[in-house]
Amino acid sequence: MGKLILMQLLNGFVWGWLLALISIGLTLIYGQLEIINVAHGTMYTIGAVTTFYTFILFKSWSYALIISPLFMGILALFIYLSTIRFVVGGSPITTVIIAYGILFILEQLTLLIFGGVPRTIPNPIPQSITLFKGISYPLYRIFCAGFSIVVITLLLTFLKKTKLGLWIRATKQDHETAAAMGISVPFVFMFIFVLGSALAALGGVLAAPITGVTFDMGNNIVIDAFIVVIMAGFGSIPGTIVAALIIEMVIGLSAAFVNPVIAKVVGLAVMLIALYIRPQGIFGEE
Amino acid sequence: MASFYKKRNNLIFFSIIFLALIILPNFLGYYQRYIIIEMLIWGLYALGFDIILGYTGLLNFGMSSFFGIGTYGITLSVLRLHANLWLAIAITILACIIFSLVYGFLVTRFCSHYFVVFTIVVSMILFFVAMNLRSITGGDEGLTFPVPPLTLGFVTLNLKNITVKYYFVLLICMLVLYLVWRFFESPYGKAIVAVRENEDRARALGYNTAQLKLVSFTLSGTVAGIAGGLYALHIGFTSAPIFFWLLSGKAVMWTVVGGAGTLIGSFLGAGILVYAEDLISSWNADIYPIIVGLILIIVIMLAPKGIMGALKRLKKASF
Repeated sequence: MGKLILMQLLNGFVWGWLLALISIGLTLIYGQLEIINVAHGTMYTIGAVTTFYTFILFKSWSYALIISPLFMGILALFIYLSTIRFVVGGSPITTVIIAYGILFILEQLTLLIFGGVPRTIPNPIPQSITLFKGISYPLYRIFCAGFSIVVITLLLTFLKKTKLGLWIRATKQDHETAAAMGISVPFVFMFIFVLGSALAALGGVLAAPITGVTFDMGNNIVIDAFIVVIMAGFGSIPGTIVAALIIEMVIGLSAAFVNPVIAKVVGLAVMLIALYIRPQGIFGEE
Repeated sequence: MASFYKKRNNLIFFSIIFLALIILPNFLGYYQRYIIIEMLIWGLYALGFDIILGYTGLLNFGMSSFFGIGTYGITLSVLRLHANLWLAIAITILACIIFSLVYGFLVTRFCSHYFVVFTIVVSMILFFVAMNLRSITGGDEGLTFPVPPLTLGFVTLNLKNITVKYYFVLLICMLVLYLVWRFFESPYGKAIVAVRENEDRARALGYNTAQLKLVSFTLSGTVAGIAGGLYALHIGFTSAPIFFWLLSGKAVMWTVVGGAGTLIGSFLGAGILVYAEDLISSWNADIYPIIVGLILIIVIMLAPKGIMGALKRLKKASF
């Protein structure tokens, strides 16, 4: 039993970082454009699906680390220019309904192209390492967590140190003042939407060898991502990381005792309790 | 005076539609009646969504939860409790009220963004739970149940008969529509609209806005639940995918296309789009969700007030 609990906690830790990567994309888009991107889970699916096709084409998983986010980024650019551009700053009802329409189109297109049959991608790093005596853990999962940590660190450094990062932080504080200072706010919006979508796709690339690829795999993760984003307080990146780790470890731990679906309900309950204690989110301001 | 004429005109207009719907089945075949029944049920479901979006200003993206509770309310009370029709309906309505009250109590205190996300999360979790609890819900294979007969005193009518079913569904839809309309004409209903317009001001005027939102949420959930119950009686079958968010999206689409905040717009939007769905699905079923998405995007960008809004604008322009 102790072994199982330890394994579940480790899994929760790994998934927590992966989920943090995906949720940061969601929270970035919300923090800048104030759009709840309900299509985020489908973007994660598209990342995994392109990984599958990349694997078929090049017989190697690692190319997908570049190709999938790039593909999703271009797709997101198209989505932004054709629809989102016109509704940024609109009422939440308008923006959510637009995102919902995009979700339907993307998901059904994925189903039409990829088909409903689940596919698998062979594990790129099949070795395991022994952590404690008697407990070995797949190396690929540790790589996943490590890779997510690196990407998140790079992202945070980018936001802190570069000029574009400064623009982004300024725009988040106040659109109008930022525009008055000569920052191209529409460009920042576009950049953030593309970046957030690419992060979701990157999450899909990392998850694909673990979970396999199905056309509706995003529906499962997007719930966790939404729980995390609410719990963290919309728009807060450090809060998102902490919330993702908490939620995934709680879900992982409760999955050791109950049905995995009920474990999701436990995650929801944790979020509710957190919201009643801190309505503005873990690291939320105000 | 103007509002009196407006009201009288509306009354005449609705009476004509109602009469047409009563007389129409005599001239229609089985299939057309079947489609009209579906339109009415989906219209009622969209009406439930209109109450929460159009009249309260809250975007509930989890309407399928209530619809699902309604269908399972009827199915399980007939299958497990061997209830007759009226008892099953009573149990279903009660279950919907309790579910929406508890759900609403948890969720209506959140502001708009949190509310949207919360309803999505809850509806998806309900979907996964329903898919996994096969012993209760039947999963995606679903449950088939014998539709109980309609008993009115000494008369027993078979709900499988399309004519009986037609008038039964029509009667319930019109009754609910009338009650909801009367509710929003009452001072209490007007107070709910005040919450939509400006919640802070409504609170400053002394209204208990949390309670108003909760009442509206419960009414909305119950109406959608009744629609779900009718749907279960209509097809005699229920399955877990009913909880999936495609159905919630359809409620949004029908109401937005018809015109939110107009009550009748939900029926209009559902009527037109259910017919369109039928046409498109007979041609290519896979393409329908893509068209749902496109319609949503186009309508919200070009005509956010929907068909009813466009009609009103037309009427204003012509005078």
